[in-house]
Parts: sequence; structure tokens; C-alpha cells
Amino acid sequence: MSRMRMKHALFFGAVGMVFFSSCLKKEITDFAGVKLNPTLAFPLGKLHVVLGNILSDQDSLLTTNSDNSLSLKYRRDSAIYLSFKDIATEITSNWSASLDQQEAIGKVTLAPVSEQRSITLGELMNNFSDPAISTLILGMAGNMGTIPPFSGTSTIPFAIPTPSSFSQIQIDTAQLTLTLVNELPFDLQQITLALVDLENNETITLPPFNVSTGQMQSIQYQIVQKTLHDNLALRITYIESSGSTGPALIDLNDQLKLSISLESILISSRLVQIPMLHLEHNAFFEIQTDNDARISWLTFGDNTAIQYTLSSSLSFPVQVQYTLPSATLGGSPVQQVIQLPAQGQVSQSIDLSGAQIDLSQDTDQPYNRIPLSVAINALPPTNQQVVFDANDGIHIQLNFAQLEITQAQGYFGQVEKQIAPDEITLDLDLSFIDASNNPIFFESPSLTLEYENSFGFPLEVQLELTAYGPQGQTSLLNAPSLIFDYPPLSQAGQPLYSAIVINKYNSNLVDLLSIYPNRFAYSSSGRINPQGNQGMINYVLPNSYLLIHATFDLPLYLRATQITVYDTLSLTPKDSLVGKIRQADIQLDYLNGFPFEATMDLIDLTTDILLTSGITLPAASVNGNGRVQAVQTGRQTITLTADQADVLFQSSQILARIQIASYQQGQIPVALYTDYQIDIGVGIKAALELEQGF
Amino acid sequence: MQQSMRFILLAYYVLVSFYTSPAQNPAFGLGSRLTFLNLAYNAASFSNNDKWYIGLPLLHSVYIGGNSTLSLRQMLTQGNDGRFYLDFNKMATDSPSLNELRLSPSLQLATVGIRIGNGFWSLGLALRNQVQLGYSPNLLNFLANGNGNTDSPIMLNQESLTAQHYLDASIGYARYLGDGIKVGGRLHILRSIGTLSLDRWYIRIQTDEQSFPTYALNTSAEVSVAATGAYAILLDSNDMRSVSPLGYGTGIAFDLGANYRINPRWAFLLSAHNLGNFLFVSAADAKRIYTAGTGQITFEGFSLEPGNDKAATLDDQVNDLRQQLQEAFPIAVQPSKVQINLLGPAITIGATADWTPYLRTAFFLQAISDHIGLRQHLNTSLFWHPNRTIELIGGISWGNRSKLSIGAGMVLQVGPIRWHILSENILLAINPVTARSGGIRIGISIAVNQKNGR
Repeated sequence: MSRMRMKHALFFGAVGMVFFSSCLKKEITDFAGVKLNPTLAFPLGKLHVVLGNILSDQDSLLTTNSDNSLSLKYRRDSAIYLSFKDIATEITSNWSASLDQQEAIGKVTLAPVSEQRSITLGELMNNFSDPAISTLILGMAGNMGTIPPFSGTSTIPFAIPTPSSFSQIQIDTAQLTLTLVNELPFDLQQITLALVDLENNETITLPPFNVSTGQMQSIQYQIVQKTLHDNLALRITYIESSGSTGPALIDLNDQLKLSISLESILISSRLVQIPMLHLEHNAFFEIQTDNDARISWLTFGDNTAIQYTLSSSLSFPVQVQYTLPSATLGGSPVQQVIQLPAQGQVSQSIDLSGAQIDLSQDTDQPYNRIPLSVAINALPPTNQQVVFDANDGIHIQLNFAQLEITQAQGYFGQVEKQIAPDEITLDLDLSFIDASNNPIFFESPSLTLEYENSFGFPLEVQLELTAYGPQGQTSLLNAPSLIFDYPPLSQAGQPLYSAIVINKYNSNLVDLLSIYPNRFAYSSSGRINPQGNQGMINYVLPNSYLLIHATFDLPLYLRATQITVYDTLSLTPKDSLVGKIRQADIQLDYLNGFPFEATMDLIDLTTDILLTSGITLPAASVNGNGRVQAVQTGRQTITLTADQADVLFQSSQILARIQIASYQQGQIPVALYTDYQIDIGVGIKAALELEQGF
Repeated sequence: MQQSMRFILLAYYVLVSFYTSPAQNPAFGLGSRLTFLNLAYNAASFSNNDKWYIGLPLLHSVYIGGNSTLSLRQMLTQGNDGRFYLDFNKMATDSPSLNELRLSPSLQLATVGIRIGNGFWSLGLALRNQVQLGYSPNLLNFLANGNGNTDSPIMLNQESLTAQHYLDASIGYARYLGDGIKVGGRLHILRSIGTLSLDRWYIRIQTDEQSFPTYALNTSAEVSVAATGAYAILLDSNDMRSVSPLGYGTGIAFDLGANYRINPRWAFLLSAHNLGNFLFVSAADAKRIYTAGTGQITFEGFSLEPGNDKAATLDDQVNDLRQQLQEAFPIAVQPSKVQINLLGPAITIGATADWTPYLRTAFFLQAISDHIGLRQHLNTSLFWHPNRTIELIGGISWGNRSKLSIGAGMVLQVGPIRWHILSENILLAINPVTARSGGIRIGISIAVNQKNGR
């Protein structure tokens, strides 16, 4: 090999090396990464749900029963509470009691008035109407003589000493007793006397006397309706005598002694010296009700007092003593003494706080009447006449300013009680439920009203409950009238525990629940003695109450034909994965221990493309009690084409539309138990087309 | 700190293994008149014509090279975008039954040779490295096709991995016996810096379509790794020692050779390298990491477990997978004395022909046993030595793994300073996408040449 040839060889060799190097270098400089077309199969995840485990983490209304079944329970303690005060106020709201009575002092019986008056023979003859006789006898004065028979009258009255006890009296009735002692020397026949009021010439003619000489005779006369002044006189309006039987000493000082007395002087007015009087009046302080309530026993509460105003028209002070004979306060009768001045007025009150009143003592009306005794002690001035009128007296005005009771017994009448409306809002967000869903029918819902009642009367409550659904639907409960039992009188003070159950047999509860309510509004009104007076005894005590606990029990024992729920899954678009999947088979293995079947569709909300449809989990079968007896297992394969996979990766929101129905399309009720479980395993076999750059 | 040092050392060894190597084409050394390389490969003589030489420390010879049974062309495919991608599917299609990816850099730390009478003594100190990965088509199929085929399991039991870093101190002696016969031998004293080898490798993966959730991986595996020195320290978290630069354990190797020059043109040689070539490391510095078991590994993925408010993060998932793996395959680390078989014996038979004083041709066949089998090279090279300053080298070889290689090199000598650059396969530079091997060696030494006529 020549040197020149060697040089040429070296030159072309070097050029060739550079050429090849530059041509082939592209595969190095354009090296991008790794190209993979593997088919990868791997689990995507799994779901294991045991119903009981879910519930243990939830602070919800769901409750596990002793047999592991589930109920939706809501309990509101003290849903309704009626205290004694609430009821007592209602019972007594239409009660009133007042008394407006005029108590007259009435006619007064004065002390007997007795006066002596002697008429001498001289006085008699000096004023005798027959002058002949007068002259005869006057002529025989100091001598023996025989007095002939005569008759006549005295021309002047013979004043009677003024009585001190009155100046003027209007006698209603009085017993006038006139005693005549004939010390004259001749017998008197047909002597007629008249009591003459010299002020008004009122004359009371007495029956005639027949008094032999030396004899005494009394007559009584009933004075009726006469007005007498203290200026009285006796007038001899007729006298007749057979004369003396023989000569007799004619002494002009011989007297005809008159003794006049008034007794049992019942006066009705005028100026008089009133004796100490004690008057008693009984009245009834009647409780007025407008509902035929008949109260036989009461205990007044605090702040209960009788306001009274006593007005006196009497011209002398009186002492008034009130007594409520059927009432006791601290074991003592309720009474009060009031000093009432002459023609004065006193306004005060009688505190009846805590007073117990037995209104049953009055056999004529053993209810509603509070007997009231008023004792009036007149306190006239001693030895002093006062103006008196039997019609004067005391004006009594009584009324209860407040009528609070702490106990009552009897028949309270029919009393209405409105109970304030309220609401119960359940912490359930049901907005995901399609409004067009068929309803869920619960088989045995109930609303139990447990109550403690220590009121002693029948009570009927009308419950108005309206349920509101998530879509604005409403449904009425249409509950029956709620009749609350009560403890009999013998068990007064001990609450009676009982319950009222509202269920599908006596209400519209099932239909009400079918609107998926999440709010309940309720109001109620109560009526005491709804049947009227049936002869039972009502009572209330200070600690009486009605406490109602509402328990809504919704056993999850139901039928559902078609419930469609929606859920939106927010995704982060993964454009980097677009075009990387040629096909994906998603294997969904399931073990469904729930008695519900579910069919799910996935829709891309961006493009409205249906990604998958008809992913179905069949329901586990149930026995006659709705309990699962055989689970369902199986596999669903969901194939995503490359285009579907790309849609999925580009999607930002996927709508999951899930249709749920209970076993056999809701034909058979199913019950939920805590041991229900569902297992879902998801695996994916994806044929990838990857070009991973470095 | 201790742990950080471990990683630094590991990185050092790994990087060093990409820098240096001893497995270049032996023909280049055998044929060269100028380089010392014939010392390493001319087992017939273990000497050259120099009176003496000194390999400058750290500059004397640095080798960077590696081999692969697959070329880049077999690994790459052009994507839709016109660019090239590593394509495991294509690799699996083109793959032979067993594949190798081997990096074998070496660093000749120091060497010296001197002629004394009829004998030539040589001393050397080298840091040798070999990282060899053997992989099967199963692995490539797995990477290419994934685990989607649920009908047949994925079997990985042919893979191998060796990483060997060791110090090689050698003393050689060659002597001319007359009648054209030259014989020699060399003793290597070896110290392990760090070795790692798979003693047992068996992995079976079956994608289970009936699991719940489906597509869990039913796995069974038995893996045993022997580690010494730095690797033993590194892989045992309880071992708090620092890596000793003097190495661990002891090993020996022998090289023997003979050279018979029939006439001035033809000479024949026969050599055996790497006889023995093992390291023995006591239990104090060696460990065996072992695991075996079966288990179903499943990716939890999403979980709609009620009450679980937080979705599992990627870290959670990874930790879960790690937990599953740890439970299925508990790892035991036990001190255990280890015997490491280094590169297997290499038998070289060849001939050289000196056509002119400036032109030599060499023919060689070399067979080397390594961890994945027998590696063979058939080589012919041309050495052109027009003057005392330059020598140009070219060659072509065929290897059962690396296939065609075209080598080239040049040696320059200016005074006593000798500089060389050699590549066993310049195709890697010309056509890197088709080449399966490549390597380059450069170095500087000082040599005094004496023509002794033998």
C-alpha cells in the first residue's frame, strides 16, 4: 500500500465516519423517552360498607334496635308542657266574683220605755166635760158624798214625762201596756184613754178600762206604724162611772194612777237613742263562670285578695266583721273586722292568699258560692240620741282583684287551651332526591306521645301537624283527637303515665312521610272536659302538669319503587392522559347484602355524553320479615372506548344518576339491619399507549 | 452523617464503574508494539520490548466501556411525533434468550515494569469494576406488555446482577526460554471494596382476575443477595462502620501464558487469565440479604370506606404497598461469609503475523466465562507502525453478545512519553444506535525501549 493510497483511504474513511455519524445521530438527538403499549391490570379500589359501621360514626336520627334493625327515631322531650299555671289561668280566665250589697241596719228595738202619770180627782174634774158633775164633785171636796153616775170626757191631756231614749221615733211596732190603778172613790166603766203625741197630734186610742175603785187593770195595745215624739200625753177621751155606791169621802187628791210602758219598740227611723246593736247578715259571694263550671273546692294562690269598699249611711259608727265560713286560712276561718265610722267609707282588701274554700257545704248549691257572713256591731254613742233610719246601713262592694288558684276541684267546664305552634326541623338534606321520584312507603311509622298527666280532668287535644318536603310539598297528618287519661281524685298528685300512638291506622302518617319531609310544623289546641259535665270531679293541684314527649319512630321497613338520586362528581381534567388509553375494561365485582337494587349511569356534564349506562347491582333477596336472606354477588364489566376514556379524562364534572328500588321493584317491604353490608371491588384492565418523555 | 457517607461512597463506586474497565478487545494490546497493553493481554509473554516503563498514577490507563446484547436500534422506535422512544416491545421482539448490560470500567492506579536479564517483572495496582445486569425477554415482555395477560404468570428468574469493585495488586514475571518460546505468569492479590451479587433470583407474578378487587398480584419470590464491603455496610442499616479504602477480604487470581514464535512472521500464543479470581470475605464484612415468600399484593386505590374522610394520598398508597411487600417478603440480613467469583476464566488463543516491519496482523479467539454464560470474541486487527512516533491500529471483531465491533486506536510516543487512545468499537461513535458495545481507553506512560531482538 502506497503512502498516497493510505492517505486517501484515511481521508475517505474519516469523511465516511463523519457522514454516518451525522446521519445516524438523529436517533440520538431526537430521543424522546419511553414508548409503552402495555396492558395494565390493577385494582382501582374497593368499597366495604357495613351499615352498622356507618351509623356508629353518624350523629343522626338513626337508631339501632335490639334486633339490629334500624329506625329513624326522633324524640323531642317536653314537646308540650302545660303547667298548672297555664291551665289554671285558662280555667279561671272567665271566672269572676263580686258582691254589691246594701245591708240596712234595719229596724231597731228600743229599750222599753215606762212612764208613770197620776191624775188626781181634782185634775180630772177640773177638765171634765160635764160641768155639772165637775161642779158636784169639786163641791164635795173634803166631804162625804155620793157621786152619781156620770160620763164625759176630759178636755185636756195629761202630759207624760218625756222619755229620754228618743225624741222622735217611727214605730214600726210596739207593745204598749197601760196599767190603770183606780184609787178614786168610785168605779170606772168604759174609761177610754188615748196616747196623744202633742207634736203631731197623733192619737192612739186605747181600749176602754173597767176598773172598780181600788182596783187595777192593765191593757195592752199593739202600736203599729206610728210616729211618736217625746212629747206625749194621755187624754181621757171618755169616762163613765156608775158613781159611788154610797157616801164616800170626796178627796180631790185621790189619784187615778196610770202606768204606761212601751215595749218591743221596733222603730225604723227618727231620732233616737240607739242601743248597742249586733246584726248579722249572710250572703253569698258567687263565682261567675261562663262555661257552666262548678267549683266545689278552691285554694287561692298568692296575690289573691278581696277588694272591698264599705260605705256606711249610718249616723253612728259600726264595726263590721266579715267571715267566710267555708274558707280557712292557715286552719283558721277567714274573717276580718273593719271599723266603719258614721257615714264613712272604708276601702281595703282581705288577703286570701292560700285560703282554702270549701264550696260544697251549701246543700242548695254545693258549688261556686262562697258564703259570706257580715256581722255589724253598731256603736252608737252612749246616752245620746242619733238620727236613725232603718234603711240606713252599709253598702258592701266586694270583688276579686285577682283570682289565682292553686287548687281547684269540681267541674271546670269546657275550657279551650291553645298550645303555641312549634316546628321540628330534621337534619336531613334530601335535595339530591329527584322531585319526580315515586314515594317511599314506610310500613310501620309511628308517632308516640308519651305523657305524664297530673291534671285531674279529661283533656282532648287536636294536633295539627303539617309536613314539608324538600320540594315544597306539604302533607297533613290528620291525626285523631288525642284523649289524655288523668289520675282519679284518689290519686291526686301522682302523675299518670301513658302514651298515645299515632300510626298508619289512625292517621295519614304513611302518606305524610312519602314526601320525604324534613320539616314538621305543628300546633294544637286542647279542650278540657270535651264531653261536658259527666259527673266527674275535676281538680288541679299546684304541681299539676301535662308533659308530652314526642317520639317519632320510623322503622326502616319500607318499599321503594323508583328513587332517582343524582350526585355530581367534580373532577380535575387530566388532559395529559387524553389519548393514552386505547381501551379500558373496568371490572366491578360486588357482593350486595342490601335489599336494594341500583342502576347507575354516568354522564359527562361538559359534553352531555353518556359514558356508561346500566351498571346494575341486583338486590339481595329478603324473607317475609323484610330481612335479607341471600346476598347477591356478581361482576359487571364496563368497557370504555378510547373516546369515552378521553371524555372522562377531559371532564370536569360527571353526573352520576342512580336509580334505586327495593327488592322486586318495591313489591315486597324490606327492612334495614345494621349487619347489612356491601362490598364492591373495582379493577381496571387498561390498554395504554404511552410515550413518556424524559 | 454515617448514612450520608454511605451514599456518597455508593455513588462514587457506581460512577467509577462507568469510568473504567479491563475488558477491552485483547487484540489491541496483543498486537501493539508501543503500548504496555500487551502486558495485560499478551499472556504468552507478559512483557514487551521496553526496557522499563512506568505507568503514571491515575493517568496511566483509564478505561470506559460497556457491552449490551441489544443495540439502540433494537431498543428504539419512532413515535407518531417523529421522535424516538425506547420501546420495550421491540426490545422483547428482538431479544435473544438472555441479555446483558455490562459496564466494566477500570482504573489502573499505578504500574511499573522492568527488564532484568531474560526476565521481565511487572507490578500493577488497579481498581477494577464490573457492573453486569442480565435480563431476560420475560422482563422485557413484562415492561412492554404489562400484566394484562391474566392467563399466564410473569416469571422472572433469569435476571442477574453483579456489581464488583475491588483492588487488584499484581506481580508478573515473564521469561524467554529460547527457541522462540516465552512463558510467563502473574499473581493477583485482590481486596474487595464492595461486591453485590444475586445468589438467588426467582419472582413469579400472576395477575389474579378472581381476587377482590380484581387484578391483585399473586406473587411468590425468593431472592438472595450476597454483599460485601461497602454494599454490606450500605444495605445493613444496623452497620454503622465507615468503608475502609483498603478493602475487605482476600482474593487471588493467576494468569498464565505462552508465546511461541515459529518464524519471524508468525507467532502463536495461548493464555489463560483469571484463574482462581475469587474473593473470600469473612462474615464480619459480608452479609446475605434474603427474602422468600408468597403474597397477594393489591393496590388499594380509592376507598369509599364510610368514615374515612380523607382519600389515601400517593404516599399512603406507596406506604401501603411497601407494607404489603414487607409482610409478604420479610427481609433478613445476616452476616455470612461470602466467596465471590469474579470474572470467570478467559482463554485466549491467537496468532500474529508481521508482514513488514511496519505492519502486523493479529488473529485471536477469546472465550470468557461470566455470570450469564460464555462470552466469545473472534478478532483480527491491523497494526501500522510507520515510524517510532506513531502507531495506528484498526480491527474488526465479532462477539456472540456484542456482535460486530470495529476497533481503532492510536499511540503516540515523544521521547519517553507515550500516549495512547484506543477504542474497541468505534461503531458506537459512528452508529451508536446499532452498536452493542463500546469502550475507550486512554493513558500516558513513560517507557524506555530497548531492542533486544527477542
